[in-house]
Amino acid sequence: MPKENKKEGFKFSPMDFLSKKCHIELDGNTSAVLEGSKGVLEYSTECIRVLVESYVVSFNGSSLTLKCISPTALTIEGSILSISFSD
Amino acid sequence: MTFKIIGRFPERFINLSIKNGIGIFDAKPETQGLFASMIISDYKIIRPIAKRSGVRLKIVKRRGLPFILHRFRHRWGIGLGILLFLILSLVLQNFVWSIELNGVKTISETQLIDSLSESGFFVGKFKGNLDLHKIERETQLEFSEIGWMSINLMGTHAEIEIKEKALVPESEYSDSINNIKALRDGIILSQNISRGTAETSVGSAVSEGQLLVSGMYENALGEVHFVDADAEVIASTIYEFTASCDEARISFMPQEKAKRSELNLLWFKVPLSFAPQSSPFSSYSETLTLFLYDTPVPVSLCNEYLCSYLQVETKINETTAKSILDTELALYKLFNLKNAISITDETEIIKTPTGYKLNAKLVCTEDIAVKENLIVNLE
Repeated sequence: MPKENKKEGFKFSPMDFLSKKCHIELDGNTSAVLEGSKGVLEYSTECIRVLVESYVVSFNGSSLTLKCISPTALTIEGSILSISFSD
Repeated sequence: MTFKIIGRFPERFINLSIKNGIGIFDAKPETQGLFASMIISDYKIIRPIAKRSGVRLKIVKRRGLPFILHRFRHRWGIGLGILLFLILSLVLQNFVWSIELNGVKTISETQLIDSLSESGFFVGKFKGNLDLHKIERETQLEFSEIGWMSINLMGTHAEIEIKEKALVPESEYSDSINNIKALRDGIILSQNISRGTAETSVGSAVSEGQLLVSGMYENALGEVHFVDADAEVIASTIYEFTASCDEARISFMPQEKAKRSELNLLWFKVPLSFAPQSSPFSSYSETLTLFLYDTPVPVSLCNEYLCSYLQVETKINETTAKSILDTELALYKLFNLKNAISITDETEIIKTPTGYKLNAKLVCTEDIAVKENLIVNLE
């Protein structure tokens, strides 16, 4: 039986950054930092699709660019209209 | 370098590159493909990745130091120039190239610069063996007006901060005992005695050195006191002035003017133009220092203006002679009768065998009181 976390108020851990989990940080609708990326599936000015864990994160908008790409993280800049998740 | 990725799946190329540790930045999708940038060393190893991704790569723009160096690879002079510039920059930063004086009010800046130069602190001096405290001490000993001084070296620029001594005002009263004597012969017109006992009265004639006000006085009880006598004694004095002027007069007429320029670069002085130097001549010079963002740099242009004179002998008439002699009289009054007011001038110009002679008798009013220390043995 899994051990229950008794600290109910504890929602955020620095270990999240080191784990392989997907972590998205938005700066308004102009910039987004995505951690836990496994690869870019589609890249155009209107849509950027990124594979994370076992699903796909889609950033839709206009003038979208990949400013910085690293093996596990990427920075998207532009006018983000929506973020969707799909299998 | 910026390159274009042409193919069906440029995203695959990006993913493979990133996984292989190749940094890609500024990736921008365009209608015909994807544009991206990477460093030149990475570009050399991405060919297999491009092949695996099924894309073609086309270089769009080459920029950066490696390309600039490659373009100028045969022009070794540029490299040598850069090397020399770096060596010069490293060497020259060990010297003092500009001196700025702050806080100087009454001391002559030229004298101060000369004194510093004699102490071993001048433009172009090596900073390594400078003993700033010694220079400060020597300068302060030479100039008694300096109360405090500090030499601050900031790179190649030296700022000399000086605080001059605040002079103690002379006290109206002193411990010394003085008499007041007559500075010259005259007839007393008025006397205003602040301290002391009057020995003369208004209207009396006095001769030079005569006691006017005594520093010793006796009170009603017969006690003798000694004071620092102080008084203003206005007297009518007479001055006689004689000046002569030869009829044949030698004068120097200014002739052609010439300019001599010199470029001062670091320690070197490079003459830019030459001018013949004939005797007699007068000259004055100006130095234009180059400033870079308010900071003087060791490059200056020194212009020397020379004016040669021709010696000519002219015969003067009486009018000219009068003008010359009047000027001499005015100069005599200006420098010798500074504190006197001239009431009447009796002047006459007489002709002599060699020229003209001016005899002047000046009646003046002036303060003839002068203090003389009175030595009293009170024991």
